[in-house]
Amino acid sequence: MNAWTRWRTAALGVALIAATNVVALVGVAYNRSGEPESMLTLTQREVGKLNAWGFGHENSGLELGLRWRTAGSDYFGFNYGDDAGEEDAPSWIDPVRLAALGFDLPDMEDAGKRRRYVERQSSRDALVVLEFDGPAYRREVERVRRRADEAQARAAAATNDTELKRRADGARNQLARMEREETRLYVVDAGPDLAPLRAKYPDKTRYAIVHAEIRPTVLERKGKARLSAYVQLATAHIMVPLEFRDTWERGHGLGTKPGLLDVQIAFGKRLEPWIVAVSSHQGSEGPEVH
Amino acid sequence: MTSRTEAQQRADDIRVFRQELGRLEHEGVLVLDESQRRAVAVHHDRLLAELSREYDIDRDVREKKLSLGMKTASFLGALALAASVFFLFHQFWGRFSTPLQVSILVGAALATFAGTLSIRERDASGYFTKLAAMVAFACFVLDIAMLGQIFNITPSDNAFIAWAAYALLLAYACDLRLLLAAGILCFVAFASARTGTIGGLYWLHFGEHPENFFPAAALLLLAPPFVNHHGYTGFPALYRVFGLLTLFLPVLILANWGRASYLAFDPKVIEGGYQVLGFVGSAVAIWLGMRRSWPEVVNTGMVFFVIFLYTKFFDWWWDVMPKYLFFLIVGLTAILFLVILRRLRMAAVRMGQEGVGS
Repeated sequence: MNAWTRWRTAALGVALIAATNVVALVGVAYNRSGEPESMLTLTQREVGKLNAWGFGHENSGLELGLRWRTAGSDYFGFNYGDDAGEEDAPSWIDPVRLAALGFDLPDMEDAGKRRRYVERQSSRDALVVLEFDGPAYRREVERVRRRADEAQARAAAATNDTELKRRADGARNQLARMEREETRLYVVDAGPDLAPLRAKYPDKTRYAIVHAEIRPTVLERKGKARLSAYVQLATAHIMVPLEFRDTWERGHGLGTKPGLLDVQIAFGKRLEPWIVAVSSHQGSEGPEVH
Repeated sequence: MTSRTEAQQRADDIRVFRQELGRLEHEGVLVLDESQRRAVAVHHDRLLAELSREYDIDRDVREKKLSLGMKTASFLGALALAASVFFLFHQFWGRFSTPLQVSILVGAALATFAGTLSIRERDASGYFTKLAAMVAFACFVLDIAMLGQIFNITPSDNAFIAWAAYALLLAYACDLRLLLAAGILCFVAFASARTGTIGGLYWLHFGEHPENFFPAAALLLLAPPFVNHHGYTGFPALYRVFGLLTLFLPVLILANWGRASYLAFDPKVIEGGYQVLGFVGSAVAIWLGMRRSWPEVVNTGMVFFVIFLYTKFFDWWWDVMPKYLFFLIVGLTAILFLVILRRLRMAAVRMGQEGVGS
């Protein structure tokens, strides 16, 4: 390699490394500039340490994952959930919303053909609305409470039926978990654009709008085919900066009771999250929002 | 000489020439007089010494065998060092502040790049350069990936084009086919993801529709004529091989799984269409490879032709035929291929001889 080629190669390489890093860091600075798009104060019910698997045990970084779900689902999403709603649970997944996201949902008489057509479609980028401790959570608690009351009434009517008693106990335990341990973070809406969603959900301390991928599917519940969707948040993993690790690990060491730590998460102009503060209920140790 | 590969080829030619000259003298066909023999020997010895000093070439068969071992060790060492860099950072990064993490990542990428260029100047053999270049590439990949993780950046396909550009820069700067392959793979990922997003697909799922790979395949196959590869032995062949793989693997998938296609036809019709495309495409590749003397294109085309053919045999006969008969037909087909290729080779030799005679 002659001297000219050597210097040109060196300059190109340095420029490429520098430019890539500058673009990434400028993007981060832009995301965190000005007032955050939203700011949620969550607890350990809504954020948890990701389980290490494979080589993860050697990873010294601490990453938290958002625990969220959708209304009416019988099981919970961590960073991946779906809506399998009961008939009485309102769902934000409907043909109009999915069509707005670019999905094609034709009217076909043949249900099997329609299902195959819907499920052939690939995931698309979308914005979803995360609601914290709002109407969706309260409706879910009411639904579980109603089921617990019904199970209790059935068990009381047939006192010798141990199976009914067992189900009533299970329903009561589920209600207790819903009220004290389970996440209060729910996906309640989706759309292609930020402005209309924010206009619909203006409270920035209760509603965060984030990037996600959505794919339609058809679920069968009680003999009825129902339109549903798979949702996966694009940034559901959030790195814990060094300055908050001690507080988090101390809070975790106090026992398994959730809700002892407040984790303040901001979502910026690019809807990317970052941890602003981690505080125990004894006092706040986080820095100012910037 | 512009590359080690060309220098090694020249040294091999000299070795073969000396062997053949010895045979011709023994058979009485050509006998050089003393002055001619001495002039040729002096010239070749001086040339070999020069090439050995500048490019660290193998001068004989024993050195060649040792070089093969060094190549293997260099490749495995490169992979191991790259993995070591990755896990080293993972082991300790959680204990650093964010500014220190960013500084280490950027610093490591710059330092390993500088180190690679420095080693390149001193390493005539290229083995240590390959190790250093792989570590430099691993550091840059780690740099971008970890920045994304530290700052919770929304994942996108843009990282692939940055990695591709860096790998290609290292490949051309250091004459390394391994880095060229890495760059091509990153480019294929980027181009395919972008093709997918044009149709509204979420970029991460570009593999769900194999047709997303076709534009990347076309670009790879068209690249060699537009880039000057003088002095880069093996680079054009690598573009052609990866181009054919990027073309034929999706065709093979679609030939067996029509539901993955963008086309809104019956899956069986789609599968049939792609099967025909696979057969025709691989036959064209074999013909073109023979015409242009591209052995890698001939071999790749042949491999896929056989795969397409045996896949059809399986679909038609596996369930209805006794297994001994099925494998007998597969074996007879292989013999038929040998006969056809032998005839094609004899025809090529005849054409070459006619060219020499005229």
